Amino acid sequence: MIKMTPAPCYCGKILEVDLSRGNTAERPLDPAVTRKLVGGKGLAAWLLYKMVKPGTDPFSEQNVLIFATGPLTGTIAPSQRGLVCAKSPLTGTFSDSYFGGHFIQELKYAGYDALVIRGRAERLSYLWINDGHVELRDASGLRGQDTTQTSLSIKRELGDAKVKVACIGPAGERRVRFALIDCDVKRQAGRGGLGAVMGSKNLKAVAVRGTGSVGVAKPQEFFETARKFHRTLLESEAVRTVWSRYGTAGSVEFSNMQGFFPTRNFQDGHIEEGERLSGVSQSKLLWLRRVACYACPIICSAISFIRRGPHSGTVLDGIEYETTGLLGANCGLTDPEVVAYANYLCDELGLDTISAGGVIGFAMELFERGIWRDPELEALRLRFGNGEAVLKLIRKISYREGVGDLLAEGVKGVAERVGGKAGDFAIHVKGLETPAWPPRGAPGMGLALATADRGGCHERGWPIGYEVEGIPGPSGPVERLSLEGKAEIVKWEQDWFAAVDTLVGCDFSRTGLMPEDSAKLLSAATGWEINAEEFLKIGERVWNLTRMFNVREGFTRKDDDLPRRFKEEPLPSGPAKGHMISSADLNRLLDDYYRLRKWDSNGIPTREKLAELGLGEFL
Amino acid sequence: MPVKLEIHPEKCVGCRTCELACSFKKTGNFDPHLSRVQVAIGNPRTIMYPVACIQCAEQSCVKACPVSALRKDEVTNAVLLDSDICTGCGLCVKSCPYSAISMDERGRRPLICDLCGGDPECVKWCPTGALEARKI
Repeated sequence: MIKMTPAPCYCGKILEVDLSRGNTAERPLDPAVTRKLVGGKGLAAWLLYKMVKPGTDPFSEQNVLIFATGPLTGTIAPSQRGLVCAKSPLTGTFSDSYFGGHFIQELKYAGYDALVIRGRAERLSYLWINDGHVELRDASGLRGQDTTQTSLSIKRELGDAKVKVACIGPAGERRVRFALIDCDVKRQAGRGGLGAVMGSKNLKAVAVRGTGSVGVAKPQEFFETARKFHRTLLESEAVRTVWSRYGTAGSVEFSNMQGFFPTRNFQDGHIEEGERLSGVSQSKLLWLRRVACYACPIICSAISFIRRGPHSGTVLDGIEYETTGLLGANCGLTDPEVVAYANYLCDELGLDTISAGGVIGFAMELFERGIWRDPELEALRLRFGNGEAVLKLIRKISYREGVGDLLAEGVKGVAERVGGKAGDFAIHVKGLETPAWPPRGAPGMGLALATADRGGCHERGWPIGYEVEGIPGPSGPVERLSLEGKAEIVKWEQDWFAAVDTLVGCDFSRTGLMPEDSAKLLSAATGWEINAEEFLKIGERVWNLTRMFNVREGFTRKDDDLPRRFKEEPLPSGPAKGHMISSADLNRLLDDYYRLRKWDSNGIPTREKLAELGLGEFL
Repeated sequence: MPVKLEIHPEKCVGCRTCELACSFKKTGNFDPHLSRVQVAIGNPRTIMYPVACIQCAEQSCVKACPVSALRKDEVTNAVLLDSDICTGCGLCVKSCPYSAISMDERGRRPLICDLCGGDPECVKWCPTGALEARKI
């Protein structure tokens, strides 16, 4: 029998570090796993499923933190990202968070397909991976440093500016449940509190320097295919007119007009003067120059510079659409300089801007309604639109000072502690604060949020494009507010996203690259013959695997739910005024969805489905 | 045809696609450390600057080489390395006022742009025109 070896685009090695024991080990990457689950999200989900027993406390030594590459990582394939994964302290679910920049490529050049970190270091430390050499170094001198300082300090200490760093800020050190991981250069793995998991392991940073190379199975075919797709993206209308000009903030006008822009804790979908936060406005007031992630022709980001007001002189990345929505409109703010500074503080202190804006907006509503009375909130005059209060709260949360200690638990945690009617205004799904694409006005989006594997997330399926922008679904166009055909779109989107996440490709590459295009790149890199259908099958397989992780943790149909506001309060304005997703509507959507997925009526994948996907042997 | 590599740092977005294209063209693998063009990226990214040989008039590298392993090619205008003569001493790396030559530590040979024979691959991939091959 011929021994299977991984395709040439893999390193064939996983680095495992046990911080408690202080030892490291290199494990071979099982080719049978890559053939079925490819890499990235698939590989990380499989490792997490195998290594983390159900019921594990996310902050315990038994939780593992996984950085994973994909088969295309480090190649010239357009728009690649990295991922980090763990059991989330915010949701208790499988949780994967993606980041651009240059960190993950360096890990692959250092010779590893994935980095698995378990245990807890005795004191604050950082991991130094220099090609095959791995060392745990003292980081007590880095305690309290913000993310930019940490990255620069480590490079100085190691004497090499080309070292790439992933690190946490003060918020991660203090286990704020929505702390982020900052990845070189200033790209954030924001969602799900994976920075808090890193903090719980006493791990301030991972520094990597790699000088190896990445090969592919069919070099010329791969290179020319990649060349074609770089051009496809560069020349696509969406990239030319929106992404590369206005970035994600190019969505502000659309969202604010269509009633999705989260306003004052998601009470409304439109804010007056919302256009002040738009890409057009930011490009005039804030932006210095455009920046791209590794090998990406989409160029969606911008380096910004606050030019006026009390925070003038501040340089930051942003402001991304999600941040304009959550730290801006959701807190009643439209002043670009204030939102930019709030964004800067979150990036540097280490908070996910979506969850931070979600929890602050929630606190504002509770205080205004008199549900939560506290002298500290009184002193802050915590009302919608008070930018100074938002900035103060970001600091308090990051350092867990005063009320910040409670807010650091996230919306779900705050609702439980405050009690009373607080839960009625808590906007989260499975504990994850929902993003700036709320579902009133797009029922498919409601189903996508309710069933996303890591909790309320827009990057596991974004049906709004089909429901509002009129992109035809797999069975043709759909009516915006109808329930018809929505489950099918959600399944299609989730399978496609999950497949792209195994590569690890950026969501935005889907604006130009269809499943058959990604399949072509994967085939040329690995030497396998993969078509669009098989590519989507990989996504479906991975989606069922992450579902099984959550099922094992006790998640069922009852958790595939939406916040009360979206089910009982009609949207007050906009083209979808009066719309909500009633419990009956949600139940109908879930029935359709489970049927299409061949899951039982409680949302659990059937044995037959798992066998059909070839997952039986993996579970 | 003789060309000159023109660098427009204000257009650079720091994607490093040029490094990947160069390394593939030269080695058949994706290995940015062996790329003849290196993008300097600051944190924050207010500074991004592709660095490569710009076929300068000074030619300090050619002058610095003790064994005459470097020469200016009359046809393409590129500085070309004769690997067989080169001893890997690194004086060319030190002499370049633009820091445009790096050292392949494994092979002990300097990495210098040869303009891909007059049609530089990096230029074809740059999404913003930060790299330009200007005919002279």
